[in-house]
Amino acid sequence: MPWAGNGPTDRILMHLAEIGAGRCTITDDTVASERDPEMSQVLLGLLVLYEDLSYTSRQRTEAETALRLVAEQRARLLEDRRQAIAARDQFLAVVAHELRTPLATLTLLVDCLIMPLHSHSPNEPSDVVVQKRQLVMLKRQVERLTTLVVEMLDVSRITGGGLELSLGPVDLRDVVRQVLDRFDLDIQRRHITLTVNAPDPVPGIWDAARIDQVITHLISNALKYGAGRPIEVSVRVVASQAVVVIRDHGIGIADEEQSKIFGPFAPVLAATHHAGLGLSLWMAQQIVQASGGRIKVDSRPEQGSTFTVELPL
Amino acid sequence: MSASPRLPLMIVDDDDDLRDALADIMTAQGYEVASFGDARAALAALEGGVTPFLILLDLMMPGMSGWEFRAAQLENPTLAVIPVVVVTAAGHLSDSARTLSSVEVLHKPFALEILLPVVARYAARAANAPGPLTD
Repeated sequence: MPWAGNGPTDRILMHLAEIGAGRCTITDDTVASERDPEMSQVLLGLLVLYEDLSYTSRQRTEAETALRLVAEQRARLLEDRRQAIAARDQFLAVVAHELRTPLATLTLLVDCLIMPLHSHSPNEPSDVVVQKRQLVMLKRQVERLTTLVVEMLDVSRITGGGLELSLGPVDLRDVVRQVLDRFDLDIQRRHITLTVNAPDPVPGIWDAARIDQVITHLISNALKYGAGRPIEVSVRVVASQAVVVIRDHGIGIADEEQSKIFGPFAPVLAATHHAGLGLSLWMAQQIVQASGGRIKVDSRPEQGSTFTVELPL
Repeated sequence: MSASPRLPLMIVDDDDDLRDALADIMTAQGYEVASFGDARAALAALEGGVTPFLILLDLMMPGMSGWEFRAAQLENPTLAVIPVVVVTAAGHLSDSARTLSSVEVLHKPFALEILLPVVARYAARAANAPGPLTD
């Protein structure tokens, strides 16, 4: 050590060096036995300084340990969460798969029962008319179940990062027409006026089945939440983009709810007004985004909603 | 009915009700049906000389799966030419299923109006094809 001298400054410097290195040889006895009162005060001050520094250092170590524990716990929780989500998705996939087989049998048998009843004779007994109506209801319910199951499977696939698009040449106008044809009976039953503005073909390269799904979800929503009022659909090319607009004049969506409707399991509308998994808009958004496009909503409560789908050409 | 009644439609599905429903429907449509709940038995029947105009093949089956059945079928040049339509409850086919061969896939559940034209198309193809299939 360079502190060879025994003068007061040398001693103070030596103690400071020790304190700097995290140790201290000053004790209460050293302070008490110091003959020079000034030096005694200085030693006491150094001792207090050392204790303060030690205390701060201990606190820092404890804080660092606590932070590390929190980080470890957070990592554990995140991993648990990831595993829980993976387990949920796996479960959904298995459930959906297991439900598809009985649904396949039901679908075929219902179709089989309905098929010979398509012909209509004028003097049909009333019980046959009722039976036909019941079979149509049965078919509708089977289709509804099927939609729910397919939605469940889609969720597990999309959240698992497995949404694959089968791209091919598609006329968007045809897709919209096909979807509307499927809803024709429903639209008539509800006495809804639906107008379509699609003057020209809108050809592009998309996944026809997935785009069909998007339009189906949006039309289904417009019918559900449209309060029986007119619905307008347009398909056209705007600024080098294929644009589908579906506008209803129904219950609409409050501002604070609009950001939630594209979330998975969006409970906002589903829970309040209609049954369903609350997945349709989330799914629609996932598909549109995977196709390189975007989907947006403009809505006011009691005035209706306008959904716009933009797809790159 | 454009089907060739002499050539059977083979149905391979381990689900008893679905297999029976399919068999009943197709029989009512005028097809001769050979249905199997076990892929090995179906493969043995093919090797034994049964020549269907189409095989409706389920994929996920205990014992021999549909994938394994298809692989075995493709290994045998005589059997490899028999067309297959996969009927599956799997929402998403793995790459292995697609690389096996470019077969048509019907996802369960499918409507009768989807299934019938598919079967009719293969029946018509078999009826019009030259060679042993039109026997």
